[in-house]
Amino acid sequence: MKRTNIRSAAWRHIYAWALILFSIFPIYVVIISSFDPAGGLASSTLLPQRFSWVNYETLFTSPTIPFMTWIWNSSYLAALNAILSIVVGAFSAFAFSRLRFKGRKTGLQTLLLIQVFPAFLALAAIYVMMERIYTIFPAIGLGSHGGLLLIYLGGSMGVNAWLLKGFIDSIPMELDEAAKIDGATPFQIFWQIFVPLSAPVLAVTALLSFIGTFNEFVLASLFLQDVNLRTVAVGLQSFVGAQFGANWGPFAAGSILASVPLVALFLFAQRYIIGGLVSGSVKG
Amino acid sequence: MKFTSRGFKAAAAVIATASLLGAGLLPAQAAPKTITVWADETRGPQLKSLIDGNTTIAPGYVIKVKFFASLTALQSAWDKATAAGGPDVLTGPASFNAAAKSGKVLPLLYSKAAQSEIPSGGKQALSYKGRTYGVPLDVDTTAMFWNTAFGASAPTTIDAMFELYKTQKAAGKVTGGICAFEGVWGAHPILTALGGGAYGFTSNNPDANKVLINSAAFKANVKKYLVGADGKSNGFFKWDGCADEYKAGKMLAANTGAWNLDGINASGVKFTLGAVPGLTASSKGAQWVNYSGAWVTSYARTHGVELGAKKLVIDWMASSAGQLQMYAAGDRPPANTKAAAAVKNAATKGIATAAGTGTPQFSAWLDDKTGGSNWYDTVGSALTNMLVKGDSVDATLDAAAVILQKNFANASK
Amino acid sequence: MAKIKQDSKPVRLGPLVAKIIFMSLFASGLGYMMFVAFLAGENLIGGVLALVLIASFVVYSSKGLVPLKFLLPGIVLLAIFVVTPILYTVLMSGFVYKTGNEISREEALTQIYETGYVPDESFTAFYMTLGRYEGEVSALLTDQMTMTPYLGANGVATELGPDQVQLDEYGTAVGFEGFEPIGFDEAATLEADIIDLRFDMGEGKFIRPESLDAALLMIQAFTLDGSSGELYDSVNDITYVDNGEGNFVNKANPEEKLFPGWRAFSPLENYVGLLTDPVIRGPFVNVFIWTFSFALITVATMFAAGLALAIAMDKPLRFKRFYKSILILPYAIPSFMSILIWNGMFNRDFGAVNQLLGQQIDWYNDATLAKLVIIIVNLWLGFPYFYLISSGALQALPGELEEAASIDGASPAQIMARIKLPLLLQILSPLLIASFAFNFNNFNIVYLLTNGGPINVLAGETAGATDILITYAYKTAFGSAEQNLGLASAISVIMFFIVGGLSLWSLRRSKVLESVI
Repeated sequence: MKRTNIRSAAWRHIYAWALILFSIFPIYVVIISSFDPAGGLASSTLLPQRFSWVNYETLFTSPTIPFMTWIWNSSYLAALNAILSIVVGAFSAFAFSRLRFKGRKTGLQTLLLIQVFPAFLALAAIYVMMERIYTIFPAIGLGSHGGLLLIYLGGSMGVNAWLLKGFIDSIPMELDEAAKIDGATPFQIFWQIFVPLSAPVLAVTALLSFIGTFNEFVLASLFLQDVNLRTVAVGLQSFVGAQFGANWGPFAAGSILASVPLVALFLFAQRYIIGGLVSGSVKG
Repeated sequence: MKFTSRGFKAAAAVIATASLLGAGLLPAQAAPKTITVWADETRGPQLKSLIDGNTTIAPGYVIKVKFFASLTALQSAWDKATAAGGPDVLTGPASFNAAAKSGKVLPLLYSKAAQSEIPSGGKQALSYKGRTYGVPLDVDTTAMFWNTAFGASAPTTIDAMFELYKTQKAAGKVTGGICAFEGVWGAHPILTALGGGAYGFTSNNPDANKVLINSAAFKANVKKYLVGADGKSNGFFKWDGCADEYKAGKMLAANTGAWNLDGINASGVKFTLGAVPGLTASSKGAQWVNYSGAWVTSYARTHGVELGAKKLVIDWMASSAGQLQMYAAGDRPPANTKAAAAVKNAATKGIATAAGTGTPQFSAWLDDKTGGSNWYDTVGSALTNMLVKGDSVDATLDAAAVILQKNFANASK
Repeated sequence: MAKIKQDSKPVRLGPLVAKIIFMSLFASGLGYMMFVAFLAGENLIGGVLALVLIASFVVYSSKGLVPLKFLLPGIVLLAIFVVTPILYTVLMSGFVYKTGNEISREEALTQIYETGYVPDESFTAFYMTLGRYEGEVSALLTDQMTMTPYLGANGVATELGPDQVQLDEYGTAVGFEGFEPIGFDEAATLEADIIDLRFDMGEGKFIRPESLDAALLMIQAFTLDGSSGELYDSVNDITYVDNGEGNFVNKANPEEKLFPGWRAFSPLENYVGLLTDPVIRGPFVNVFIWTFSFALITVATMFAAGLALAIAMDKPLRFKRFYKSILILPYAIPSFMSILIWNGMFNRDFGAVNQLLGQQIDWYNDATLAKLVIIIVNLWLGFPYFYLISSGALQALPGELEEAASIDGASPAQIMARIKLPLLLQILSPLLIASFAFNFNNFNIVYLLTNGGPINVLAGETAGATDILITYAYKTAFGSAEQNLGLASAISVIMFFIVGGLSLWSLRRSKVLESVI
């Protein structure tokens, strides 16, 4: 009996270690590269040979790479989008989950269908629209963070509404029945019962939304035409272009700097995120 | 439906206030006519310092320069621009001339001065179906950077260079011979050195009927110099991601442009500049000569600034005076021959002169896809098939020629 | 209870004031923008803003319409920034809309006329002074070679005697009796009139302004026959006819098109092309097959690896917490960065993968290897997610199942294979389908890793070996040099039906499952 236990434990460890090696391989490579002063892909080696901060210094000193500005742009855009889309999404989710009205089911299905349209092929349309808006309201038109935020909001609101609806559905009906008998309006039920109850879920959905926006680069690269307005995703992607080999070191350093806060956030909220995932979200 | 009276009144009051505000705060209508010029991140700031806010080049109009974070961003914005936000004048690489096919740029009539001072290659590079759409602003070309660690000067024939490569390789000093930094694009002089290239010439004019990629000489030389014993590349010529190898001192030479000077200097490789040696001591590989240009867009007409924009483009941007000012701001060799002659800097002057002997890059021909794919993709596939996969040289080059013949025939019509 | 309700009213004045202030700010902001839009002539934008303003006014001031009170912000955002672009895309799929056919017919005609202006052989140019003559916008013109002055007025150019005009120091005519010169500033505002000025010089030639101070002698090669709709080119003696697909073509040789063309409405053209035109259909079919295989294989591999890990970690295990923190790292790192890092790692000459293997494998130039790279990298990105959901689902399985089965003498492996796995599959199937749908449209992995390549254009390929529908459509719409927005939109619509159908089906299915479990 004991023998089988050891054997069974052994394959579990071996398999876990195999996947761990697979998981950390690129992370290891990128860390090594970020400290390699030669900075080119050609000179990269599997074992660390030299150590230097020069790649990191490039990010902070090069006049053509406003790296901290990019990080800031990404962070605040993603944060604003996360918060606003959660607010709007939660309102919609509540209505779909708790209120009964004509067209509810159709509305839900439409919401789902809209989500599956390959949205960025509508890029050309979005561009034309934002260009026209730009001519009258430059602050929310093409090339502005305001405009990009509006597009992000439109795009992420539906997903968030779906996620949150799933959660609100799982809150027992009895709670709001009781509140209704007490004479509470739907708004009071929303604010006083659902928001406190779903605070962790709201936070997780906001976090996932934050990560999603942080990752986005197709829209951002189309919209943000000024170097100083770019997000870190667009900025790092522009390293790749023709000169990937040459920019490998600074790129590695940039990836690490941009990932660390996200990974920390993720590990910190791990428990909640996993709960959220199992209840039905999709990232990868 | 029942409205709460308080909400109603509040809303009504607010809308009324807003309408007053809206009417009062609107900018005055009689703004001066603005010519908007688009440029990329390097030319943009230079143009901005020269002509932003200018009201004298095109009297009655004020010029505004807008620039983008990168050439890609500019290209992407231009592709999707409409009359609402599109530019009146566009500046950028000659490939932007493709917009002529879609009617997004206006045909131009050069002034007499421009007519005589703009080189015909530049004019032709910015033409489509026999009409000229842009004026060339500056001219650029590439050169061979010979690593002087392998000899004070480059061999005079490709054959000598090849022999040197073989001995150095055997000695473990190099991993490759000559590198095209910019991939297929930068490989052109190496191809012409071996008897290939994009198109031949008839009385100094590029000839669409002369597709050189499958010439007998080129086929023979590919087999002789580029293909090794295993039927694949022998490493003498590399065009894919070899820049780092060259910078690490592991290649004899590289072909690239002035834009890589800083990077190569930083790598510590010492070099001399020259042309890619040809089959004989007197022949040389022909460099691409690429012009960047300025166009008046059809949006300029929609915006009512067409005449002003044309004046800016033809009377200033194409003129020797204008190009000398741009040269002073950005060090690019002027396309205008009179301006080029006035330039003092030897290297810049050299590039401008070399432009007379290279192969002008005709985007209309090279980007045409009638045969299935454009020149760059076709040649890229051919090189990959012959040198990476080990396909038959003759069959590969013949297949490529079929595509290119169709493209050129269509584009030159 | 009733007492509380009565009391609560007066106490809640604060929120009410806040609400009114918020609403006022919102309405004044929107109202201001609406007026700006209308006054700027953007009636569409103004109209939409007005609609939003009225809708919020109606919804939030009425006592009823509670669901709409919750839904309106979402509806507005979705309608403007998501649904409108989608509808526009669907509409575009009905147009011949590609490089060469991008502008309206009217604009295209103007452009064709523009290319029809041909200067005379000697390139006669004129200095021009604009002014008003007999109330009309006119011009004093001086031939740059002969310095002969002309008066261009009422559509005709008349030669003037040297004594009739005032000359400036360069010998250019600047004044004439009855002619009131206008300055550049004013002329610029009259551009729309000036641009249409033509002063006839006889023999079909006329003088046309080229800027505000210069003009050229030209002819116009094209004439449009209003009744037949045919366009005649007098210089080359060719007649062109409208081919109904957005171009004027040579009447004698319909293959010879005149550019630019225009966006022509031809609702089925792009869809029919996808099915019948071999040039379009060939790559489309291949891409279609690979898209399906990729989505299937990648979900299968990610799920298998994740599930196996979940099973392995299902028992109390030493270092489990440590393992877990490491194993979800790939999921936590922003995916666009991971993909770019992997991109460099598969480099033939210097990549870490080849260094590790001690080989010089050309990963990106071989179709099969490139596909493998995509599957491997996506496995790296996705297995932690499948691990997380599988382990969540495993824990959610009722414990009695296992007990009952082990009493019946089944081994743990048997329990896993026969009881737990089928149940797990059932629970997770909606998530698997969702993941399939996601990967079906997984743009980043292909675009950032292989950019669709390799592609062997010599074999006539026009799509890369690893291109999936969405990258293919993206390149078709926004590729270099030649772009075909109409065709790309049609591909999007087809993708929409596939993924949408799949999602709806899985939704129905999961509803059924919910009621079963």
